[in-house]
Amino acid sequence: MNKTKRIALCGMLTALALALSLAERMIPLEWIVPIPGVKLGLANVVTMFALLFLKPKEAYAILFCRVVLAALFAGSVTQLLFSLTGGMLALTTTWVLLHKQGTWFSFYGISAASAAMHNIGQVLAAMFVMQSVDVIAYLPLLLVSAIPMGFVTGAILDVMQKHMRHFNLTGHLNG
Amino acid sequence: MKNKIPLKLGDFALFAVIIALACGVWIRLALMQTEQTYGEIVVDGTLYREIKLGGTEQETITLEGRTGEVTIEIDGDRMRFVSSQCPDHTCERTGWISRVGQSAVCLPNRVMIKITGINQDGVDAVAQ
Amino acid sequence: MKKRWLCTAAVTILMMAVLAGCGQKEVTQDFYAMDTAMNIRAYGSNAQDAVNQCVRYINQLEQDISRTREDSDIYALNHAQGDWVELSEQTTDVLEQALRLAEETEGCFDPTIAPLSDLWGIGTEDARIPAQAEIDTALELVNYQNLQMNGTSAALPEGACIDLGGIGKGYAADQVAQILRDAGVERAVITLGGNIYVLGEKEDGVPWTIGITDPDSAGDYFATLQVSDTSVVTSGDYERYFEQDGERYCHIFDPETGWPAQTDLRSVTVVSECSTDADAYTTALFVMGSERAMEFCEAHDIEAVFVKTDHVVHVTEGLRDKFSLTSSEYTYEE
Repeated sequence: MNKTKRIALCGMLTALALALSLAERMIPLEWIVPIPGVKLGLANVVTMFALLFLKPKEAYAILFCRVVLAALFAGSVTQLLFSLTGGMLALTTTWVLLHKQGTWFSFYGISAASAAMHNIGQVLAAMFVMQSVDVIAYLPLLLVSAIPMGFVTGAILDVMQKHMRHFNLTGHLNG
Repeated sequence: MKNKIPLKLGDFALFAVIIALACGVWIRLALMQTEQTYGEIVVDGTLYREIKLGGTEQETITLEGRTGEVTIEIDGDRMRFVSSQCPDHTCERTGWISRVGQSAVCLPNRVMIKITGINQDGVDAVAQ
Repeated sequence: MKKRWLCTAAVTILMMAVLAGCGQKEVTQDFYAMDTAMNIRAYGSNAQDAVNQCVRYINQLEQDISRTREDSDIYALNHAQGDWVELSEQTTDVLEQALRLAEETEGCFDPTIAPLSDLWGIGTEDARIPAQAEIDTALELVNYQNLQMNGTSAALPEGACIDLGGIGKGYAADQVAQILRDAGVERAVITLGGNIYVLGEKEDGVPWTIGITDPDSAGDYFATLQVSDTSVVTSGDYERYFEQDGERYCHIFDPETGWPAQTDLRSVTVVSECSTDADAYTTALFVMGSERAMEFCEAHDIEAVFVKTDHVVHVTEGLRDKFSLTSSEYTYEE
């Protein structure tokens, strides 16, 4: 796949991730888990997809663009900082764990770990911004909720990856 | 096989690590909380301020009650009415309070201070 | 495929349910009524409504039995100059209870003590030691037997005065406890100006821990009681007092002498399922002094804690396993 195609794909993935992250704000998850800013992490699916089929460098770029744009569209500077710390930490975790995907780990476990790292990053950023350790009280609940959230994104990824085989997108990319 | 979630051994290790981490933080917090006490200032039935006690905090708070100015002192893990513009000065005589369940009140000014927190060796109420 | 989604959904929902369901809701409300600070802390789904109902009830009770409100029954009775006054059923009930307790305690608790307490003015800026002649004049007006009752009407000699402050909070606590019970609230702590009523037990099935005020330092407590479904009321010389020439004059009067009660007691705590009784008993027992008070408790099956001036604490038999001393300043005596 040539450079133009890759860039176009990256742009499309960024747009998709942005749309997903904005859409999931409409899901009132706070009713179930009483923590401000709790999210399903659907945009994480896109990030993992990018890691699977593109280069890590591109995955990081997509993540960065998505987080900045999401903050621009609906959010604040503090939120940007939270998402960026959480996102980078999550992405790095995913990247490392994906090397053993299929042998040691499945998408479910990787998604859960990634969600957990995302939450840890967010809480760390919040502690730094608010100059207070009180935020850490949210962490246990956030960590536990990372497992069901991981199952949701993991399932999506599992299904999607199987379907992608038929499209042979990878062939185009690598060709 | 196809109908099952294809979990691998490592997944369970990841879940275990996450849950262990959550429990660890939670237990640590719970332990901290049992020692944590708060000083509440209630003016006319509504919470005016809540102060974390137990540190080295020194603070003097002055507020306006019904009959005049009320001054409250915070000193580490305890608090008291220092002075109050009221007819009876009962609140000043009450002295320091520091244990969960203790309270002091300035009736004419309708200002109350009380110690709250997870009740460990404190009391649920005090008969006065 | 379907099964996997079902499984995922089930796991998710289960996790959420576990996370969401945490403990019973606590409702706590601070408010002022009957010249004192009150707090009701109740647990359960219906607690907020029940607590609101209690606050409304206390305000309405105060309208009936307040001495200072010009529209109250008691104000009308005190200012009727000997005429008969028609009372509400509620006021009648409180007055009847007051009379019953005055009789039972042989006048050591007396709801007609007001002319004396007004004369001394303890707890106000005008507190003073009156002349003996003034005390004697006031004493003539103090006698619960002066109060005549006939159905829901009552009469009082001119100049005499009813003050239900001595049992009003206790009566209110009993009624509030009943309102909460009727509303299905099983656990609550009612604090009406230092009168405690606890409903049920704590969440883990452990009795409530109630502190008893340290007469030497009114912000602190010197002992605790482990109780459930009962009322705890304390009266002592530290509540309202004034000092002159090194002598302390407290707000509890001896209806015999017309002087503030000066006995070998610093405080009396009564534990009873009836807060009205407990409220009147603490006053009466304080006036009696330790020896007579202990005999009275024995005769009337009253459970009490006495703190004497020499820092010796005496506890009646039924409370001994519920009582624990937390201050080393006091010594415990069987």
